[in-house]
Amino acid sequence: MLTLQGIPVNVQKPLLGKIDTSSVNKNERQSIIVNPKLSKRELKNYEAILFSSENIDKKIELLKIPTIYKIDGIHILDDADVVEILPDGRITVLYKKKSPHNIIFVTSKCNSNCIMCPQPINYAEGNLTDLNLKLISLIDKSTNELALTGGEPTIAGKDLLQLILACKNLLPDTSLLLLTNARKFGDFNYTHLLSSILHPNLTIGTALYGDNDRQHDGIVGAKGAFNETVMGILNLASFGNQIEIRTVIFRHTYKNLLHIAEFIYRNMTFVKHIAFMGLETIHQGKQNLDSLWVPPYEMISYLEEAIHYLTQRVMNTSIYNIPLCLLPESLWKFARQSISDWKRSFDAKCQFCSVRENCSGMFDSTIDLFRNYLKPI
Amino acid sequence: MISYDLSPNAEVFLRLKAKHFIAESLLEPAIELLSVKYRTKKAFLSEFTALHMFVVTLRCNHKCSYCHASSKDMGEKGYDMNINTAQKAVDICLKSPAKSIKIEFQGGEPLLNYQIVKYIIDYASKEALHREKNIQFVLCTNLTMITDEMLKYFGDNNVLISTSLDGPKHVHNFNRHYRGGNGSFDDVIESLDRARKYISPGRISALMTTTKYSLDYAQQIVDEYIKNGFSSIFVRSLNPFGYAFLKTQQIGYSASEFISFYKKILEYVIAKNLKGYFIEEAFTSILLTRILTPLSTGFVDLQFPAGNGISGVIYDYNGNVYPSDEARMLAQMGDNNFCLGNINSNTYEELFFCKTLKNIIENSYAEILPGCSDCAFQIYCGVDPIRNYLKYKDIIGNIPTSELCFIHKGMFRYLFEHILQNNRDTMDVFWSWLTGRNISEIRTMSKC
Repeated sequence: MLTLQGIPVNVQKPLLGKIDTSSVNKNERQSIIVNPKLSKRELKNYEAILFSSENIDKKIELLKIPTIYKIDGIHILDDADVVEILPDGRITVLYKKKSPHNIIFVTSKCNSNCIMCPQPINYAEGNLTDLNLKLISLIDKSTNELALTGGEPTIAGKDLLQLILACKNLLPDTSLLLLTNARKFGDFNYTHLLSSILHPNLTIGTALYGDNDRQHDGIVGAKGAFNETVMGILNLASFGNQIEIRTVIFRHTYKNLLHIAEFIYRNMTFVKHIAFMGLETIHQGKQNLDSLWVPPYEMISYLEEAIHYLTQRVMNTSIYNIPLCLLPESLWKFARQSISDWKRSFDAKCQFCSVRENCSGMFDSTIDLFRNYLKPI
Repeated sequence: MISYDLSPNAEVFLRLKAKHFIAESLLEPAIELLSVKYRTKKAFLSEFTALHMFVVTLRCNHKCSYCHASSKDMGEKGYDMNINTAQKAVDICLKSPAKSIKIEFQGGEPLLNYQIVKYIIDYASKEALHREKNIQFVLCTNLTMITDEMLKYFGDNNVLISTSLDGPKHVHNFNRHYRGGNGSFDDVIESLDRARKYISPGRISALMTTTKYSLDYAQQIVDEYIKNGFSSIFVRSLNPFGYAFLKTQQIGYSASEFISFYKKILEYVIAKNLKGYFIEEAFTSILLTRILTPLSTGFVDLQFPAGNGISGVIYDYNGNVYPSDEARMLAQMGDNNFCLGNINSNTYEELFFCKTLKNIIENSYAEILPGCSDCAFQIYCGVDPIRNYLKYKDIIGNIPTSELCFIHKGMFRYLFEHILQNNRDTMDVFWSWLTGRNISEIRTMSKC
């Protein structure tokens, strides 16, 4: 997540608000004004004030409105973005109106322990539900898509259902993608509760790393996980939920991509989308890098096989997180610009590439690994 | 595995487990997945009777070499369905729990009783609307009597046309001719061209019935279909084989002769597809769907439990109800064993839950039938109790001597040879049929 830092004044507790750069939304609830050119009286309508300047007027300090100044990079904040302001002067961008990749971070806790997991678990983390409910109430109604992610969102139990219900009520035109290992949906009653919300545009994105429990459970570090996920997918499907299945391509899976594809087609023909994803090498992905990494040229033929199998059968298929120049041209049409804009990088070489516009780019974390293989087109 | 020599982490063990040939301690997920697959395969049963065939007349202007439907002369009286019977048949048909109903007009030549065809379409469409059912009409016609006015009406009502084209002129005319003896080829082609002005080409299909004479002309037959813009050919064998009647007509052949003909057709059709022309052999597509996909394909003539009554039913011109066309033929030959009743005197429940039908269905589960229960192709195949009865006077029949079984096994073996060879070209053609896409689309989608 994007974070800015400045010097806090009057910030007593964490505070959530919606950015206003043009002073036009002053009557809107919980607006945070950026570099205002307003009178003191007008400023009183605001929840907080942000400045890029080195210092601020004493009069403003006396207003007792939470203020942060000397913020570097304040220009990245746009109207309708939602930020959290912390007493230590940090500003975390929780929602970016311009980005197609906005998320609700439900929890960092997880019931699995995947060997390639890019997300650290924070065991001390408190309950984020109230914060997230507030966030949902501030998110712009024109948002196309939101992902609910973690950690494992279902760890939040009924709180997750509350978030989805809030999205249904407050963001009726926003489609939701719930990223989950789906183990909790092995519980029929929980699946029933989720389905009863009747969210009109909810997709459950889950993951399979093998076509059998031995391989999948080994990767996710939880015995019985494969069976729970499979039962979860069947339960979700029995209520007519839309399901997407993802898998990550790395040392443990790359030779099994076709097997995974076969398993999905034979048992879960109903899934609406299948995605093959390049590895993100931070956190566990970085620690275990030596045992996880497969050079692109080694795995491409397996990826081709799996994609061919699925497209022959008119299954909707995508490739995430692998730059175009590492894929044969026949696979380009499956490659998506999947990396969140704030995590996406290009190499200096990419500057002259003719297909850069359509390329996924690379994770900040993987760019060093890919660098030697890049060949601008 | 049995002697515990195979490691549970061995590649072969994992693949067998993934495909549910073996399971370890926890059985529930595997059983659940298998039951989903089984339910999916048998999904065609959930709708109950979807296909309703109406024999609106026995009269026909043709007298084809292979016709044993004992068609009547053009001028004969008393062989047309009347309005009262038609209405009652539609009422019964719409009582079926199926959400989507298909009404198929057969004969004789249905157009000889065009007024009733029209009546049924109008009445059934109106009634289907009240009952929130989807309804689709199929007209089985030799096309030779079709007028522009009729075509406009069928086009306006989204009626599908199923006609017969047996190949190039000399083949078609050998098989299919008017009562006066002249072949009907030229008239069929003329009507086809005209029909396409009113009805989109995709809604007009044709059946190809194979006689002994056809056997030498596999390629020419396919070429004729392509020439006439068809994207599908349905190759049928004669029914039944070795029938004395067919021998005297000198049109019969052995089951193995038919299989080699079928192979020739298929090779040629595949080659045509690889050259960019989309044409499928429709029966092969049905079999391949069963073999290569988890999806359900009911096909009343080849499924189990049998399609008789529970998937398809036929209403004769006089209101008699039969579980299949063969049952109707038997009745015409004097054997009324399989008549389910009459539209004018029986209720829906009496017709569809009668002992006759129960007995047929109960004896049509391939899993427990001698000759089928241990067959490798069983799950892709089907059972036709009434065709068994036609030959053996017994609905279970004697599978080892059944020509029908021989033919289906021949087709399965042939298709599995292709699947085993896994030739990229052939498999791309097969998948283009299963997904309704031209080969070029498959290639650009998946050229690797």
